[in-house]
Amino acid sequence: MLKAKILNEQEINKILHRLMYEIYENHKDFDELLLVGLWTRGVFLSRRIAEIFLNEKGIRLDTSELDVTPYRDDLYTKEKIALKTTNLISTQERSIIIVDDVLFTGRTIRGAIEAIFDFGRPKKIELLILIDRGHRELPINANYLGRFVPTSSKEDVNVRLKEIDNVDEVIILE
Amino acid sequence: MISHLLSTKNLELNEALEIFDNARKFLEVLDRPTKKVPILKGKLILTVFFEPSTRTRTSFEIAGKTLGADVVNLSISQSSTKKGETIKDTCLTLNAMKPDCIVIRHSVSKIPDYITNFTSAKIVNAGDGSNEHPSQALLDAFTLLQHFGDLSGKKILILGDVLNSRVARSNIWLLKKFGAKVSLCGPSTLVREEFEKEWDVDVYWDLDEAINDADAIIVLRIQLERAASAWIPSTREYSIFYGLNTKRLVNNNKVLIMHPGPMNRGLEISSEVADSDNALIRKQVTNGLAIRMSIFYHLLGHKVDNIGEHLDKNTEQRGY
Repeated sequence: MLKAKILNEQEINKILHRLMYEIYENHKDFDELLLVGLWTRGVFLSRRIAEIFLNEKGIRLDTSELDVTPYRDDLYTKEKIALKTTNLISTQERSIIIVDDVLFTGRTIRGAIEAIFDFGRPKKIELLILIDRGHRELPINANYLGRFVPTSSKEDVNVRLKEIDNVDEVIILE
Repeated sequence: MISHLLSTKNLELNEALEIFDNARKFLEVLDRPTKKVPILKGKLILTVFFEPSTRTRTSFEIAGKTLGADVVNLSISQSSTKKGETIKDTCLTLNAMKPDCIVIRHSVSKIPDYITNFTSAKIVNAGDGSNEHPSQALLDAFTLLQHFGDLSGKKILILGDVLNSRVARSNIWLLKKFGAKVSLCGPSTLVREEFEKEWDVDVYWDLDEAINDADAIIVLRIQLERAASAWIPSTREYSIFYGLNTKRLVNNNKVLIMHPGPMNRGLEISSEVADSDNALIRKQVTNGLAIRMSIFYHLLGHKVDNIGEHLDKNTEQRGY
């Protein structure tokens, strides 16, 4: 059941622009920067940020897609999960920004970090998140955060993006 | 949902497609600098081969290890059965070592089905007698799909010792599920007339006629230890009538060539054909790895009925 609408299309867009400027201020060498989007919605967010970078600053950033499924710690507690595509170039000596839509327990990010190390030894790994809903189970925090939304564990934060959901919005379901 | 991989006869088409989908993803893992993902971390796979085999066993071993499982190879042929132990006792003993999966090859048909009664592990049939070799058929169909995209109406010729071949049987069941037209060719001792009705396939005894409109040819190995001794007059004669060489392919030089290996060069296949651009034999080996990884993921990589039920059901939350 829909409980609240947190963000609409303009707000998401504004946030992505702000996050892009934060990245721009924190980094110097954009050739070594690599955005790694996590399936499903992180992939589309990372592509959008790269597009904003190109439009605003004329800088072309490398983007990759990562499927964290093989690195999950709960495979044996769930029904079968379909694998998605991983298209990650070497992470050796790169600065990595992991991009995902919702930060919850932090376990996905732990898996993503492990996966990234299988592709080389990165210089640095940062995290970009659209919505942080709390309830962390691991010591993980976002470097670039769209919005913090305190939730109860009964609630569910749902990020919808045009690329797959035909609409840009963030809602809370209960 | 299947809980063992025993045959392609009983495999649903959508299960095969699911195995293929994941195999495509696993092909990428094989190209990584670190060829290892921890999907099956902590799982124990036993490969139990009652018959000698190098490539199938190695392929299963690498597949399991790439997924992070512990793989232990057992060659039973030289030990317990020689000492008089029954297959049932062997299985009960192996089961007591708590494996999650047993990959088994045996010279007697239907042994993998039989041992499912004595073990709680998932059973993968890696070849039983002249019955089935499902993982080989899956990798063959996967390789063909890679090239054709769709197999409906494609004519796939299986050439050689169909009588003794488990590869042929598994391939026939599976390829027909994908809508392919399967035909068989070989000497009448090895490709029997009754196969036509029994399996609903076309039977040829003249190779040139069979090749004519084939889209792909799966060349079977002449098992020198079995067929050559009894079913064909001489290997030389076989190679003259049924050996695949460039001369025979003049009128159909686009046809894809596959072979489950190991090849007898100069007997069932000439070196020129085996090394030609149309030959997918090396590709089959790489695909075989990905397919076997996918089979393990299909059987082991998720919650199973007898394990994990006590675990917290409240893990369906999104945004994990």
